[in-house]
Amino acid sequence: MNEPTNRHWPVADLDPVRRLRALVAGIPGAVVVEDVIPASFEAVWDIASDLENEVPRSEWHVRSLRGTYQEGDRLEALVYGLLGVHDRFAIVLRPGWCWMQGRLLLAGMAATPVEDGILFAFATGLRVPGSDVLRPVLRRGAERSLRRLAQRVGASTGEGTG
Amino acid sequence: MAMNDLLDLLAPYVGRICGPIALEHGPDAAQEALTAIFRHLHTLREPAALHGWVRRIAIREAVRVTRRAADPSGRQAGRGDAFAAAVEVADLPAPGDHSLAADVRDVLARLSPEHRAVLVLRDLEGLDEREAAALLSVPEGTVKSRLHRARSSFRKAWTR
Repeated sequence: MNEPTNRHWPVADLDPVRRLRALVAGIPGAVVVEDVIPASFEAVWDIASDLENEVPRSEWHVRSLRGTYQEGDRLEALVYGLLGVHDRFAIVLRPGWCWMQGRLLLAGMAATPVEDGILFAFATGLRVPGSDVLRPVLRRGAERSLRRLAQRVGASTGEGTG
Repeated sequence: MAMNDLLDLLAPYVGRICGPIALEHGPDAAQEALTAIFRHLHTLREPAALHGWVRRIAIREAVRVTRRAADPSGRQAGRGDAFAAAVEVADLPAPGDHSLAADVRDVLARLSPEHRAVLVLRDLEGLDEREAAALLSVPEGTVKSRLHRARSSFRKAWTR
């Protein structure tokens, strides 16, 4: 893609949440849910990005997540499910952005500061044909994960989110 | 990881296209453009055509989102009508207008989104008039006659 020829031209900046919305739009059956968490970026992202501890805590079907490789913002992890199924995930993790792609599942997180706190988006999807019909189930699961994250952040900052 | 990498590649480019056309609506336009791109990516048969395809979508969405913001009722003119209704060059500030000085955004804001689209295609993307007209689905003469002076005024202000 061309480089800008003049630095004075305005450039539209896409925050991580906008990027996640666009990316998920191209994945049949994937859903994205959003909420504002009334906390600082660091308070939210320190917890959300602690994948080994937080993913099993917030995802009922995940027993463990173990990192196996890291180079810069690229990671690999083995995820073990409750039913004995395991999947290897390729992960991109940077401040405000996490994209996890496994053989069967994908997930994403994005966070950007807004007036009242941090706008946090959580995406999830199944990489199997016909997963469109599971969207309502995936959405409920994503909403639950987001609520749990908000509660964890609230507990850690002493704010409490009910 | 291909989708994440593609997003990393396309987002800055789409932002550079949408920014000068949609101005304060740039983030909305860029999001809409990328949404359309990822939603229809499976229809792109030739990877070599990606750049031009993305450019076309980004231009279209930037103009559409800007027009929609200006006319929330949704009664937008068609693309050709929109060009016909674009502000005339006479709407540009006079040469002695010092508010122009080096303020590219201010100059752009005085143009219609369609004019800005042509400026982006010609001055940022390096397309000639024929290519710009084809991409925007307007006659080459329209691009040539309406934007010659606009571009000239723009450059004068820019380099002043």
